[in-house]
Amino acid sequence: MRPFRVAVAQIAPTLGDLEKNLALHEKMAREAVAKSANLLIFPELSLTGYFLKDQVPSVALRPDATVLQLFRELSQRTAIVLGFVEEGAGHRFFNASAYFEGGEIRHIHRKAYLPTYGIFDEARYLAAGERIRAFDTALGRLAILICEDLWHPAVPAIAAWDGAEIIVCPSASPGRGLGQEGPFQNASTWERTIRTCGDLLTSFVIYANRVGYEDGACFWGGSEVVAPSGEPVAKARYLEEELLVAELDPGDLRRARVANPLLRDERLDLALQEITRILRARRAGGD
Amino acid sequence: MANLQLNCETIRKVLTGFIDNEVRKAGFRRVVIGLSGGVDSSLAAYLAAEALGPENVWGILMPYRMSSPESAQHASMVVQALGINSLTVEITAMVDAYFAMFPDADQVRRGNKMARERMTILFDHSARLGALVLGTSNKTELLLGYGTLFGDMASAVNPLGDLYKTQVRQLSRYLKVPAIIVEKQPSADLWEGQTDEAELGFTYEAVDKVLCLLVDQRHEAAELIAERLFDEKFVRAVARKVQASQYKRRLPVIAKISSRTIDRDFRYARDWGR
Repeated sequence: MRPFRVAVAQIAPTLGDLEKNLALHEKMAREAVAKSANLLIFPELSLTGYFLKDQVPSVALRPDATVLQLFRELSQRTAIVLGFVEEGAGHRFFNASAYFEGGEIRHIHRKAYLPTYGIFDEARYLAAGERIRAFDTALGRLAILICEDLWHPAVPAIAAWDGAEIIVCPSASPGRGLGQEGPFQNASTWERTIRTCGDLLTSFVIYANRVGYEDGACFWGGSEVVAPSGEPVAKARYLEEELLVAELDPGDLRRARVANPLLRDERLDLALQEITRILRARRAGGD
Repeated sequence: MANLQLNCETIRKVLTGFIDNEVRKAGFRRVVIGLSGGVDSSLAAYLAAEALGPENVWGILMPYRMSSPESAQHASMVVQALGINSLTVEITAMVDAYFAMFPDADQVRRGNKMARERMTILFDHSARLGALVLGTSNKTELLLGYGTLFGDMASAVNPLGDLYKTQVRQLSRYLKVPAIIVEKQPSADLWEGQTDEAELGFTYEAVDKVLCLLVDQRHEAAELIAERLFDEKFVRAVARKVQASQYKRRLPVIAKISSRTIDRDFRYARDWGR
């Protein structure tokens, strides 16, 4: 791992307008390249907007779609993570994020935890992903976890156990609840969550949230880059569009893991034993 | 406990951003607001003037012959303070002409007619000025059903619908809405001496706390009663009003025939493609 520059495109996509959003992505990618970014991250469902409902099949793309060719080309200059609705085999639709590098898609993460409560209704329209995987990139070992995935503590833990050094979290978080410090109550929860993830998993965490409004819901922005110490090293403004740029120093990762060898001491066998026991009890009809 | 304290600067940014965004997405840049001289429509005008510029905001005063002269004075204060456009359209002639045919109509019918008369004027000016109708119903009114369906509840975009009345006051103070407007007794001004709190039977301070606990924090009415934080009759009355007025917060119910019925299984965001 060598030092590199990450950019987060905190944008406001237009709901269901692929063409307009593609143009916005291209503009941001060219800006990121001009700023010598090695990795550019777009928010969740950045190509389509979030509250798609019945629009899901109309905006879905297969990974080989020609409209994505542009990003294959741009990825010769900077790696790109972008969000889209993936049409999988059997016409199942996924809330997905693709990692482009060196002219091709190297990895696709399908959101595994679909929030279906309160303002959210994802499981009504989308299929849940079945995998949590870290993967190797030119910048280090990376994992993509989309928004709600990170609210289930086992998920970022599995990514780190799988060797992830950089956890990328594209998000479309609508503000909920009165905030005292941040703009909304859930913004503070997010900030605590990503910083705790960085700290406990001694990994970089890059949180890419969007801005703008959909049906009155306000996406609050505040994208953030967290060091493996849990400290935020770069923070985008709340509520406004921005291209956030930060330098990541792999020395920080090494020092954090020397000071805090939590991953070394991880006991997967113990975790597995207990998970297996709990699962067995649940299947046997316990609560 | 109920937390109703706003971070006013953030809410100001969210709401001005909301007005600008939703108005422009709909293809407009102007709004019309029915200015009553009360705190809700005054706050809506303050937010709209900041979001869109005062030249793009039209405040319409629509007094009836029995409206308090104070109401028009207060509405004019808002127009002056913000430098927005304004227009006065009296509704007396239309309302009286109608009730000449139904002289026995009670206060409720008269009040509803006035609210709906005002609505038609606002939507006519929406077409005339190429401006969206900005709503001014707050969360307390919407939850209690204390408004006229297709009357004062009608609008295109509502920045205040998720703020309780006491929060409307907080934000109004922060945005320097004239104190005389913020601090006066709220009234629908449909007849002389009418006040919201006398009509509802409780104060906004009290009802906002109960609503926040029931709606936002999802306490059960039975829990609030068991905890003896509020009078049982009061809690039950509030819960009953919320339930009884649910129909006012929904589209008219549609008899299902086809495989895709609007709003049941034909589901798109209002901001579809915007």
